[in-house]
Amino acid sequence: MPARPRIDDAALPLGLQPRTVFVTGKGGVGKSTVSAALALAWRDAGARTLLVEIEGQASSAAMLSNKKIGYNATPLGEQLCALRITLNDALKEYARLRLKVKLVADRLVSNPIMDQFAQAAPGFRELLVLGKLWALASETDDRGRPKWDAIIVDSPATGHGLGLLGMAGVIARMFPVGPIHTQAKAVDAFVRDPARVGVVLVSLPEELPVTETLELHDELRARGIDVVASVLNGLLVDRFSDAEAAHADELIQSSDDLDPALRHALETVLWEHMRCTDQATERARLEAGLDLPSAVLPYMFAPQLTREHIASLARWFMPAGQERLHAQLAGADDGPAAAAAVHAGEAGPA
Amino acid sequence: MSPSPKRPRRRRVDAHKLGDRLRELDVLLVCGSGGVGKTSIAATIALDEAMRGRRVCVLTIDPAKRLAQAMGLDRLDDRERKVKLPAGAADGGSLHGLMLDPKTAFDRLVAEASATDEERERILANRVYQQVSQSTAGMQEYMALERLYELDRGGKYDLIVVDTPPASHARELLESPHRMLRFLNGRSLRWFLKPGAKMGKFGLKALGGSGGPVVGILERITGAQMLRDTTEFFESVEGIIGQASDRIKVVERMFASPKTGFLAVTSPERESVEQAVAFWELLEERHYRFVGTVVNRIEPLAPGSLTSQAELEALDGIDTSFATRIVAAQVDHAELARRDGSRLDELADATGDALTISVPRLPRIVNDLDGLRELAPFLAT
Repeated sequence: MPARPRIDDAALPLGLQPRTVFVTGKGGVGKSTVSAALALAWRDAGARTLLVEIEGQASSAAMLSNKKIGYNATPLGEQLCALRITLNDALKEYARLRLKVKLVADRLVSNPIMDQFAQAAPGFRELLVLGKLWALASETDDRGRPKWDAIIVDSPATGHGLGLLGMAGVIARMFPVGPIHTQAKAVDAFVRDPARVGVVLVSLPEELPVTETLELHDELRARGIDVVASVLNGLLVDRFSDAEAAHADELIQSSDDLDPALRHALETVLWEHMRCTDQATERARLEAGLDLPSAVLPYMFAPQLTREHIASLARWFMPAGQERLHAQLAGADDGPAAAAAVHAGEAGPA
Repeated sequence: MSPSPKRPRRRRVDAHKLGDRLRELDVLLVCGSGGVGKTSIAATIALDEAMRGRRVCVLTIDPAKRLAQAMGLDRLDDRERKVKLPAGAADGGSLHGLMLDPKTAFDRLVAEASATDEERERILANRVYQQVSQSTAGMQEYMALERLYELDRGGKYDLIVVDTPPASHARELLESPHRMLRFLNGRSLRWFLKPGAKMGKFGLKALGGSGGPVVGILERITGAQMLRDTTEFFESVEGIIGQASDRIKVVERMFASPKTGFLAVTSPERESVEQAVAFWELLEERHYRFVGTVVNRIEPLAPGSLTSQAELEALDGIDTSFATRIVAAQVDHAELARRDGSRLDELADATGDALTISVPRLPRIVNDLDGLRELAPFLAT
């Protein structure tokens, strides 16, 4: 077995020590993209990393590799694996663990009664998923050390994500005795252990996603679940100054017979600048409402995100990339020209 | 990945036909995944139809706070609220909004289907009921339909627009009545969990025979209490199953009515467009009425060719640096516009005679009545 590389603290995304994180946020904010980029960034900082997707959700591992991802960890590269939790397999694994006889467990799982039960019994499915994650976070290598430094769970959107994270606690309270209680209580203790587990909230710099993120943060805190960071995705860095936008507006207003293509070009200036102003308002609202490490990721002008884009986002995640973006957003001296470089360089920071 | 070099062959602008199709409908279900602007599109259509003189109700589950306020829906109380129409509305037009509370709707179904108060109270008090009535998949979707059915039956409206819950797949909406039935009807499970059927420790012998041993094994992995509570729940809903099933079937039949239409809302992202096509196929298969797809927030294509740096520098007060950045921005946006154009074509080709309507990205987020009025021309209802 190769020597285990040391984790480079100075390269950690969000300054965050690797652990198990649930990546969640409003639908459409880019949870899978951020999960994949965060997995790469943690791996690059030296962490042994596992990216986890859940059945019924979009695949974040597909953003990193063409490999088919199953219930067992599939290597995607150096120190990076991915895994997909399927309910049927999780149920089988749990039944085998409890019943200790593989054949009986497998028969039980394929029995329609079990299927009905798993459908109807409150929270049973969520408990299986959380139980599997707990098992993964507790896995050790042949020298007894944790097998994974970082586990990134591409989680369901807000409502369902909250349902998932809180479910073990609900079940433990609902069923005060029995094996389900024991399991639920242990899983709940894991989910609420800030040394091992945290939530990363993903948002877009728009009104609804920001509002939803702030509400979600409060609800998670109220349930005793640690929120460790926020990620603001899809940020436009302003390529134009106020004066330039005002000038473009003036040119549009003052000439009636402006060439349509020219007019469109000037309107693009206005559109971007206005958009950036709105985004700044929402970013300020998010940062004022959350006392958390936060990362910003630039909007990618691309018809479809490719692996190169995810790699670029992973580099923006690193401390040097964040420093540059934050300086830019705060109004750096080199101003709009440097901002243009952010959007021009698909490769991200060096 | 480089953008497709060819320009879109044709751009279908079907917006002018949407109004005609809407006027043939009593019910419009607006479907799509979260974050695509479904609530704004549903509200725009409702407002516009009301402005044209129809009596409209829009049913929503979780609108933007400011949108809700603009529409007078500041409270989540499951009641219809009248929205004040802007000046210029045609005679007879009215708009109501209703913010759905799924829990209330489920309790109401139980209340309606229960023969006695005692039966109702027993179900409402069951811990498993309290949990599943909120957490079971498809429940919100079904409850929206349930409420819709009540409103439709009331006959107070010419058109009811439903902003469906942000399910990950529109399929969940269509299947929700069936799931609800299956859920209440968990027959085999109920039979095996009957108190009469011994839940003792049968061990492993005779697995595959009667249900008893399976239950025994089930008990070993879940515990007696979870089984007992679940059993009690099914026992307590036993009495309402007949009534509730009839009701659910009636609600389901509403889908097939020629006066019910489905409108998909998507973003130009590939996954979102593919979901819309899959939804269209599903509706075709069931012979439901698919009105069309609104592709929201597309990037408008530059007219003619892109502007050159020299042309820009020829304008007053534009230096080289500024011009370079304008060209870069225009190129970036043009690439997105080309992508969106070809997505629209793919969609139009894949969905037969259904409408494909594009709504451009607006510089600001739509969250009030004025914003909705701005969107309306693109839908041209």
